[in-house]
Amino acid sequence: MSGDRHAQQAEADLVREVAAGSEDALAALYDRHVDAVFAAAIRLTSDRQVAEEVVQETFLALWNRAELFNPAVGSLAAWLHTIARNRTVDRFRAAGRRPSLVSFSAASGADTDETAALERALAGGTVLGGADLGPGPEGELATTELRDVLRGALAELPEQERTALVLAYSEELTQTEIADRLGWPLGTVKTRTRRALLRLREVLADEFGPAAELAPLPVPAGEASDR
Amino acid sequence: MEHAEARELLEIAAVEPGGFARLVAGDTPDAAALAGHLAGCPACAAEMERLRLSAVVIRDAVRLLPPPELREQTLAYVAALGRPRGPAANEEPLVSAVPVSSAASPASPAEPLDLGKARRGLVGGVSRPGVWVAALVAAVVIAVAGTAIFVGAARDRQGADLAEEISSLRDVATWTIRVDSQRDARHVALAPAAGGGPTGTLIFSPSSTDVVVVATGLTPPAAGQEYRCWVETGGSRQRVGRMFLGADLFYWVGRASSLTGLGPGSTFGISLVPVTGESVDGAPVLVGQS
Repeated sequence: MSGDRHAQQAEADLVREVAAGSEDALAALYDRHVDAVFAAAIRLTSDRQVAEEVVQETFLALWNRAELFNPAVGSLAAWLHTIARNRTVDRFRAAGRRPSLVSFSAASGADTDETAALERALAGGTVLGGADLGPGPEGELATTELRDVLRGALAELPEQERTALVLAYSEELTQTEIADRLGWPLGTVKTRTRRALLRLREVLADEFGPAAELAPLPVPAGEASDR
Repeated sequence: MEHAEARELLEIAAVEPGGFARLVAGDTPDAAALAGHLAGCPACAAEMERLRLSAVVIRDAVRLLPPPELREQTLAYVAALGRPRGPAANEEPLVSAVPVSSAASPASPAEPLDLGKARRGLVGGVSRPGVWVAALVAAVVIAVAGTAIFVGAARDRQGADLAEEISSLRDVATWTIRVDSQRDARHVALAPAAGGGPTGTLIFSPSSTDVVVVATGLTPPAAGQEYRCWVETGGSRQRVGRMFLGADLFYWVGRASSLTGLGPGSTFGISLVPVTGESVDGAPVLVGQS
């Protein structure tokens, strides 16, 4: 608990430095909170461009209103999360739209396979209500830890592998579209994407352990008995 | 089908949008062959399930991570549009403050915009045109909002229209910062093709294809017509985007595939064209070269 209090005090000091005009303090707060702010926005909109703009507007609000932050009332993370959420909703209002938020049961429809339903919903950009990994602080911690682990693993990927995988998953591009965008041969795109995926699967397997059954299985020797 | 071939199909399906759904549907030769293989290979079938679960987790994590370049863009955005702080707080504000009053006062014009002061728009010690455009647009936003709050019922502008205009101008400011902060950003001045008052500016990045086009002084189009921005490549015009109107400013912000890998010396233009169809062949009103 004293560690938390120390961290909160350090953060309050940074906000005071922002109020005094320190761009370094703003950058430090950006590095600490951008993942959560971006995630808050993209969970509501599923549009990366909008989420990026919300991030910019949120940190602009932090800069302009740093004096209004009171650590006795709540955490900076919660404050920024509220700003991000409000900015995202404002955009929907301005466009006359509503965030696409549906329950998992509504998104899965007739699917009996939850994994298939989940991947279909995520691929379509549908935001699923109640998609937390787990309830309460332990669930939040698990989500944060997983994100940190995967962020670190992504950063360690060779740049070309990371680029291919990020384009595939964040911009929903096909392998052919990635090849066109980057000017790479299609075979090269496939090789780099597969390597990146394999590395991240190994990281996940290390993180969750064998019980989660995420690690790649070895290719069997010999031929399968194809029907 | 060999195991290695099956694994390759599965791994590619794991990274393509709707990849597993297409495989499961089985309506392609590959999907049918894979289905046959999986029926006789428990190891590959188990690997498919592991891949599907891993892909869900990894995709969600990747999508939730902001791009690395967002850091510089955000800090530049705040630097350009944030309130003066520290020693800069003692300088004159970029825009004279417009006091807010709930009284239905007679129309009171906003004080003139003072753009002569160097402020936070300087980046790296060099004044960047894009940042000035963003600062100008931000100032217009503040002025429009302030004036509207002042005059309230004295004007016939609806609140929703005003919100739309402010949102449009905010988009222009945001996108200008975004594009201008990119390493390969290029600026194009748009001049009247046949004389007259309209002017414009265009900023784009050939690598990201992000673009901002802004034009003033254009005559509002008649019904059934609109302004469209285009770029000439290989001797033919390619559409960039339709010009929207926000607070007397025609603009387009977004991405245009026609700009992919565009080299220097390309010709850009804005033409008045029929709303129906995709034509950009009208006589240019504004034109410029990168």
